[in-house]
Amino acid sequence: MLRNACRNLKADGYFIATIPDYDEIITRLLALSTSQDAWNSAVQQEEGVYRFRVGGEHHFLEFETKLSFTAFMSSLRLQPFGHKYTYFQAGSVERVPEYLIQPRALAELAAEEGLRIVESHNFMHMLETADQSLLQRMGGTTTLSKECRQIVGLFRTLVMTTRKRKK
Amino acid sequence: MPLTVEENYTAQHTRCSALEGANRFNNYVKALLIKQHMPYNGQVLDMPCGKGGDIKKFRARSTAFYMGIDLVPSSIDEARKRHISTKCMFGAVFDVGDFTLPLELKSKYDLVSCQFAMHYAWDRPERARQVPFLAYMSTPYGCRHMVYTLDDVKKLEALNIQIIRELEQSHANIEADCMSYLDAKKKAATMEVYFDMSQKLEACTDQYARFFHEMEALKKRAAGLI
Repeated sequence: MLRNACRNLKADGYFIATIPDYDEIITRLLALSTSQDAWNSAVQQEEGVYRFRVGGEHHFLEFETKLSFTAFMSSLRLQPFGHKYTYFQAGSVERVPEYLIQPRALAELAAEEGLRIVESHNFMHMLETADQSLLQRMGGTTTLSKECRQIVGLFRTLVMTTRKRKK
Repeated sequence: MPLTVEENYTAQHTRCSALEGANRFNNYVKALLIKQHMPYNGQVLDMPCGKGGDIKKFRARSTAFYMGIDLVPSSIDEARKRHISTKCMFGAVFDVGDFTLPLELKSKYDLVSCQFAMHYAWDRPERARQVPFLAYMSTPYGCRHMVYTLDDVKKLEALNIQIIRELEQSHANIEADCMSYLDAKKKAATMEVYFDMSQKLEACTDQYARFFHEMEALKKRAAGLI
């Protein structure tokens, strides 16, 4: 994917993407150790399978693992790939397997393919600094419900370029 | 039951009014990124393009050419219809394809856009980066091109023999052969490594993953030798 992006870009082109925010997801998972509710839970099931779920009434991310909570959180840091979770968002995503994108692995892989990250912001930052005129034209608003803010905060922007850094 | 990516984007979903605000805001973020980074009259590669939900955003940038690629054939049909119905002035090509496999495109683009999709390919580095071993697995006979910038024919020939020996020693079921083409004018050489996989393919994913990793390592070593 990164190779497709890099090889098909002009010398000064940009690669733009929107991805789940690794740090935000880790923060929400870590919060399970101090508080849980109907939508956010760490449950051990039969045959030693754990389910760690974060979300709200209309959306959730769920990890299924044989590792205990502490071991699982360590593995997220140590292993850059393959951390599968299922994502549900009512009306658009029906429990689809996705994978955490570790920022360091992303930066390293991108650099190997000749791409440099020039900008990356959580969507909450985009909400705070919104281009009001464009947002209104798109039918959007900065006044979002709690769950909408939770969903928006799950994502981040990513801008990469093949352009060389100015000396 | 979990759905595959393809099933999810083929399915019809009932809109959830409670999340409308989030959906609209997420759509706005895409529009903003396009506004900030897509030059006027530029060319864009949208991978995956889905049902063409971003076509209007590119129209607003007076886009000159749009290439849309998506895994789901019905999405490609929808995107094609949307391009016509929105009366876009720019030319567009839509094609079914997997953005984690090598795309053979003839143009270079000002912008490559990958919206809410990269996380599907982050199961292993080969897919995130794109070592195309899955493509080769679909055929029992494959060919890999490796391009070197070198002008020393003897070193290349020695390297050919070395690669064949190493491949055959480490992979008993792979028969490999190499051919090299030298371009004296450009001082470059293209090496084609052919391999024949005789075992059942489905059971050997890890082995072929290692095989292609080793090919990459050999290429790096060759670059160091020359």
